[in-house]
Amino acid sequence: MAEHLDDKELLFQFKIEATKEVAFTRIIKKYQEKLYWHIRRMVIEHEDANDVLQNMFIKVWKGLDNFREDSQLYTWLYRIATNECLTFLQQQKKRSSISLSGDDNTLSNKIKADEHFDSNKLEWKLQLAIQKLPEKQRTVFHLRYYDEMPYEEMSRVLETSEGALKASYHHAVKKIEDFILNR
Amino acid sequence: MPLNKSYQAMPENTIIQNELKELNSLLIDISKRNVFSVPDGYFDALSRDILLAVKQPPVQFEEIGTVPTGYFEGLSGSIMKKIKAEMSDAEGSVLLMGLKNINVYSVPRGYFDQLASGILNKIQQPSKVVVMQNRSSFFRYAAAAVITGFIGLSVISIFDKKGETDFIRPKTEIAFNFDEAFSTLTDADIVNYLQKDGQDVNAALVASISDDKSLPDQEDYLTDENTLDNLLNQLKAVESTTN
Repeated sequence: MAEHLDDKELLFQFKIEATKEVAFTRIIKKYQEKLYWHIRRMVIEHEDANDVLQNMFIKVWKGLDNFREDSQLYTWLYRIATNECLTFLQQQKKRSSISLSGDDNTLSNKIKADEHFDSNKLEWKLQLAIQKLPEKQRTVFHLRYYDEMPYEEMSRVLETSEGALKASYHHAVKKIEDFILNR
Repeated sequence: MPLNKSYQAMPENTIIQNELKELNSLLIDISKRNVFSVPDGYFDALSRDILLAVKQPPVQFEEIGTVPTGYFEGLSGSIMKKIKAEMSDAEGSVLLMGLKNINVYSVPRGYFDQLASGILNKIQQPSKVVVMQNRSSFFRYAAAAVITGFIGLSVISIFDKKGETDFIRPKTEIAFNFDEAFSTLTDADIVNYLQKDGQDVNAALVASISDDKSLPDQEDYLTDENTLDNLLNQLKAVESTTN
């Protein structure tokens, strides 16, 4: 199946005009779920996640010809997805600060608005706690806790040292525990 | 929308669990169940949707700044239409519309019929000529002389009274009189006054000896280098005698 194709093979096919679209479809299918959930946890709502994911893949289409294979495709895709998420969240923050409400709890409110939200369940409390983290710390937590990404790889995605990432993750864990225990 | 399948475990899983154990974190006990869901068939259609978006022709930036055909031809008409609509809105109050032509005031019957002729009659009537009588010029001069004399006497009397006060005396005259009176006082009088008023007598005496008059001239400092020392010794001597 497409998911089992090697990234190098897919990139090779993408560079040939005749197989370009097929190769790109396979790349999407191979990584769509991992990237979607990475984005979804960051932006919370499906519509926003879908927008960010599609924009991200459009950028990939435009930039894949220039992709140098000195880093893994998977790492490169995560980097673009993360940057797109952070840009989206910044824009959203600007919009909410311009609006009369000046609401800074947009993401928490979105979680609470989910049809399955249950404030008594620990996994939902965890989601609320994660939203209290600063954006970059939240990204580190997601990549480590949910995506189970090794620090070495995360270091290439976020272009940050492994030590700083480890410290950031540990701080995030403590903050989340504090939120869950004291709220 | 059904809940999506749980997140797939990766080889790093064990390392991460151990890391959380080391941190003694309660996150180990929390289920990693994915609480979010996606619409049915979302991932099946995703790659097709993205390819459609990719293939969409780029935005023609040349079109930015163009206007619809015939826009300027109809512009003035549409603006006038809006102005008229706004004006009719302003006049649209039913209450005001109803009251608009009701005049609460009235005029005597036939007033406007007679108005024009009445005005014309007034214009055509010859105006009265008032003849001023000749008065003797002797009384005019006499009245002027009396008024001038009264004003002059008033001014003299005011200035004469104020001349007795300090108000209009020159400041230099006041200062001179003060210096004259002050010079008649003895040192004992000044000391008594200061002691009575609780002032620092010694400081006052030192200040008196260092008065401008007793200070050396600027040239003395140039001709004799001991001038300053002499002055200080003099001040010390005065201070010791007062103590």
